[in-house]
Amino acid sequence: MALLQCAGLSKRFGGVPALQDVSFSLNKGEIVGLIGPNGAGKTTLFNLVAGAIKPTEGRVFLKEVDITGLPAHRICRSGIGRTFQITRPFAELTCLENVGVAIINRSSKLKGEGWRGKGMEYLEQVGLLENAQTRGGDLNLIAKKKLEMARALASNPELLLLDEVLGGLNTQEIGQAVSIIKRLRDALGISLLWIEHIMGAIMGAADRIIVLEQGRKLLEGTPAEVVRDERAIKAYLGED
Amino acid sequence: MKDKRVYAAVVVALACLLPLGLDEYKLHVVINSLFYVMMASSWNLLAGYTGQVSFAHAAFAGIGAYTSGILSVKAGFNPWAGILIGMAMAGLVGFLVGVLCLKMGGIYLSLTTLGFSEILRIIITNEYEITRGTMGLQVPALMPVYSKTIYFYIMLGAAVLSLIVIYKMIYSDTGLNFRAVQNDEKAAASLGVNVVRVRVMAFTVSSVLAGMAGGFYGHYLLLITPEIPSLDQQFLVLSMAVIGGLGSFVGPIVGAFTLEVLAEYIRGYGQYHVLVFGLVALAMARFSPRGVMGLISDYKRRRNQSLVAAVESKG
Repeated sequence: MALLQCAGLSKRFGGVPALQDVSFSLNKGEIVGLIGPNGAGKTTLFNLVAGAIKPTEGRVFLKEVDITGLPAHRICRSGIGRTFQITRPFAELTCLENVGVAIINRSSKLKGEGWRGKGMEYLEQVGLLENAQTRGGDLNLIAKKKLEMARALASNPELLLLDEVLGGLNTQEIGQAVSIIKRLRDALGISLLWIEHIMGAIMGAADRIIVLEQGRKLLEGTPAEVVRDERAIKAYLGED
Repeated sequence: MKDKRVYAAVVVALACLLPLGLDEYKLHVVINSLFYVMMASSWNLLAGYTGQVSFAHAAFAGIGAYTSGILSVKAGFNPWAGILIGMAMAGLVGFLVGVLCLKMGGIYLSLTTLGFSEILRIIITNEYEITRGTMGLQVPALMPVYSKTIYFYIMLGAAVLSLIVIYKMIYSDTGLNFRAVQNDEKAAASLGVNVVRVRVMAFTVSSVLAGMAGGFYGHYLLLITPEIPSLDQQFLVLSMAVIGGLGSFVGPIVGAFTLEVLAEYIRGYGQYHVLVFGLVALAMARFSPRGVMGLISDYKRRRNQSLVAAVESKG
């Protein structure tokens, strides 16, 4: 049974098609990479799955339940977490409170002040324990990205949508982040749909890659297949 | 947490002694202040915790006051029952305005609520038959024999009740959701926060509390005029909350008392106090968005940091 299934998803903004007839599925425990040049529709696809926007056409199924067009908070509670490409910390809330928001709203609720202890665990997982009392707005970029991860994890997702979490990190940090991401799948059984521009990282970690170009699905395959495919190379490097 | 409760109990107990030391006029000022405490604190719940800067808060106090006043004058209701119905009415209208403003933020929400507030004031002014317009509606007192002291205790009770509701809300999961929505609605929704519910709930609860404040205040003044739901009143409440400190529990309480007492002192120089307060609030919003309470907490933090630094340099 597919964990996530998208069937014929299309989105037009005004008359402009951002995404056209994209179908794919993602199995439990899989890491699926989503790549493509700027403007290919990757983030639009994320927003459709996460309920931030509604599709013009097509359906989204989570464990065979139709979740198309549900509001974002209900999609979150049904088991899909997400991070934002441009980080969106709650600037005036401490890191712990940032994570707490996710914990108190998930379906498996913790009563009273129970979220504080649990929240510290999530901060520890991403290495933000020392910043627990720092306000979200006062963090540097890397810490903000970590906070995005911790928050998304705290919403207890079965499927996590990661939107360019590696952008702006140096080589060493990328290595750390990738190992955190792999651990999510291996230790916690979280499936991942992952947009990334850093090819080295995503090709090494993903089980499958989906390439989008100009709003359409160009191809889909294992990383080994994709890197050898003429069409994928053209999409990234242009003709010649 | 325990400490804070003890503090609050001591403050309330001391407040209970106030009628012993104050003359009628000063007691009147304190009762006014209690009305403004309720108004500024409940407005803060909406504006300071969910970021919905409504200009209709005085209007909701007006709905509470006029509902209760009209029911007791025209239909012979007991004023206490009238206040309860007034609160329900304010809550209902607050709910509807909240739903109307759902997709709005910032200046659009402010303008819409400002428009609503003015419409309501104009209706009240013109429906002379029912409301007595600018002449004011004479309403019965809450007790058989008028006593300022008893009114003081009633207003104190209402203010404490109102503050308990607000405190419980902001220091609960709901309060955390409120602040999350204020900071970033999209991020909040992505983490499971029902943004619609949070926004409408804040509108409804703060309107009920404004309705209660207006209801009690009307039956204290014994004369309800369109002054209660006026924009002057709204901006005074806004100034109190902003100067005291938006997004802080104590801020609006401090702001309400300070500005009301100050207003009485400078009354002799004419009606410029609203203008002065408005300017001070503007300066505050620009230079210290978290008001006096924000300045105090910043000062405390700096002092702690320099203490830590001093200890570290010695050790």
